Amino acid sequence: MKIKLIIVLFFTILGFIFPLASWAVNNETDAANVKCIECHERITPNVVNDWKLSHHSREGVTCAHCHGLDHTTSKDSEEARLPQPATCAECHEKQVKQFRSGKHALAWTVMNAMPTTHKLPMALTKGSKGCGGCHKIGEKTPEEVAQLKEEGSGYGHAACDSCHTRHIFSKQEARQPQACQTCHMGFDHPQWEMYSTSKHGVRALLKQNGVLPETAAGPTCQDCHMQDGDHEVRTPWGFLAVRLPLPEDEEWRKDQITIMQALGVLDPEGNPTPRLEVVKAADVIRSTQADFDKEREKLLNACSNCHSDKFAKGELAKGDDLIKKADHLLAEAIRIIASLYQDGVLEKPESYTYAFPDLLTFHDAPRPIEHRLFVMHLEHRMRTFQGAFHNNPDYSLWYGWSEMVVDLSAIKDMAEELREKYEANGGLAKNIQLETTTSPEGK
Amino acid sequence: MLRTIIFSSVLVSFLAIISVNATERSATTLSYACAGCHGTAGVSAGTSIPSLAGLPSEYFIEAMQKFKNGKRGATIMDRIAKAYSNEEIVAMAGFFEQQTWVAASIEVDAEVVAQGQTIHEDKCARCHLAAGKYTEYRLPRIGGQWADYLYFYMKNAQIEGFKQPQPKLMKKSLEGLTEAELTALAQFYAAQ
Ligand code: HEC
Ligand code: HEC
Repeated sequence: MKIKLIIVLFFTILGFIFPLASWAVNNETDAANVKCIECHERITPNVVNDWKLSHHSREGVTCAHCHGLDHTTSKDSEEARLPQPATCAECHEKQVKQFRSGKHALAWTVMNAMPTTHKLPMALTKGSKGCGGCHKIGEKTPEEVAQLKEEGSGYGHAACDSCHTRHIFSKQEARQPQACQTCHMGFDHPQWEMYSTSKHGVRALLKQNGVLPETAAGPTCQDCHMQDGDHEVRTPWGFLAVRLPLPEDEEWRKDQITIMQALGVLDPEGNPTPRLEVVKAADVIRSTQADFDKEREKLLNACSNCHSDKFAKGELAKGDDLIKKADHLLAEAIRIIASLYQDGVLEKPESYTYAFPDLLTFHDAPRPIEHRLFVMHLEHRMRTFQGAFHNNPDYSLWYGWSEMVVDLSAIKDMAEELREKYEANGGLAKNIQLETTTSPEGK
Repeated sequence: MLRTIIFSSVLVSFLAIISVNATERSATTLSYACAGCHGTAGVSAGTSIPSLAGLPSEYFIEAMQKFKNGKRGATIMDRIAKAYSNEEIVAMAGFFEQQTWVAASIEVDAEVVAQGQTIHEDKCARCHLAAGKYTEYRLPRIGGQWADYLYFYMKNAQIEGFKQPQPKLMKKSLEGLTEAELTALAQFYAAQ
């Protein structure tokens, strides 16, 4: 009786499996019969749903257009092509071309040009959990992508999806200031915090939530930095607020030279270093007056939608002046530490090219006094001038300038302490204990 | 013992057939009305009438809705589509999607096909993948479709103001193509 039941069950099951099996074979025999949606509706339903809401789905741009036709089963997911800007350029040629002429496209190159990048855990750089999470917006060569995969970085190598997020790729989303928020926030470039609490941002956000009418003025990030949807994003001063030609003002000129020395683009004698070429190639600094003026004109054009030319120029000039004043504080701090190297109080670390503080080593700098300098530069100097350009008085003053003043006085104290120890040790730099020096309060 | 085995397997197969018929009956019956032109299982015999077998249901439903609402220019389908409710359209979409595609069999000139392929690769391949055979969601299969149908579709698509559904980029791709080039494209796709 039991055996009979088992046999009956066996054939019943067979009866169901057989038609299913032949169906599967039929589908697999035709490569043109790839059915991505059928599976992915079960495996990653929101990916499919997002895409169905996208303009792509309406235009007949489906999975295979970006991911290719090679991945057809759960076992060959490696075969799915992961898109790069070149993929998007197949249809969005103009936008990709613009993108490539701006700073975003170079974000990956810039990240790799930073000495600190190569000292951080992979997860924090190429693995997207740190720098790479935002710098992924930069374009990568096919070789770089292949190497990334080999190194186990996994996913996240696309660029355009930084603003047009997967898989809805919404133009509307990318036009909102929030599209910039994930990356332009926090320690080194809190543009979101500055902008969103400035009157520009407050009005834009009030328009979004319907308090102000849609036609009221209230600029988004894109209104100034991506005018008419131009994907070429560049600014006059760039990220580091150093540029060529050097300023005519004698004192400022000297200060900028000192800062460029600490950035490692000029050597301690003031001659250009190989790093200058890297920085120029990565378009981090504007290297001609015309280049600077062009970007400045672009911004003034945006200002002129609401402000008189005189007003706008005056406000931007105040920002320039703050850079000059902030540079003086920073240059003094750099010179204090440089003199420690010069006098043998500090020994040149092996990783340094010159016996001179290196701002681009970030937190990997060898001593707390240089950590403090790094914070003064990357956190506080940035806030001072970015706050001015983004119309955020608190950022310019309390989170920027005021902190720089405090940094400078701390660095002076720390330098003095180091000198005292050095002398007490009979002039032996290596006996200076790192733990005993005051550590910075910042990050 | 043997009797039981035979009986149970026959019963299972029988039940399977019944259950399939029960769900497809209405859609199948509805599709009879289309068979005169589009063939019994969506494989059309006429060279200017498109095959429907295997069309993704999303594409099918949208095409029918557009015919119905006057959003897609037609010689005949606009009138036919009006006779069907949305539910019936959805049911037919499911039916045709299940049918197996059979490629058009027409005489083609190898040289013309080669010409068509060059234009296809230059202007159409980025969307109509796998020589036009790829189909998913709202992208119809054109590889193996009837040549005359394709030709008329493209020709109409070039006419300003003619309601022929097409993405902006397709419109741009078709711009300026001569009748000879359209013929070459149609032959290339039909030959797939
Ligand atoms: C008298 C012939 C005829 C009948 C009957 C007919 N069709 Fe059509 N069908 C056509 C023609 C011709 C076209 C091309 C568009 C046009 O010119 O109207 C077409 C186009 C289509 C298309 C668009 C295919 C594509 O690839 O874009 C669909 C879908 C369709 N028909 C569905 C149906 C359905 C469903 C029925 C039955 C309810 C049906 N047709 C009955 C002649 C017919
Ligand atoms: C941007 C992607 C894209 C490009 C480029 C493109 N097509 Fe299309 N094509 C589509 C989509 C999507 C449809 C379905 C349109 C609809 O019904 O909404 C379609 C429909 C068609 C149809 C009608 C098929 C049918 O069954 O009714 C033909 C024929 C066609 N395309 C030919 C071409 C040719 C030839 C080219 C190149 C000159 C081309 N397409 C370029 C996306 C594209």
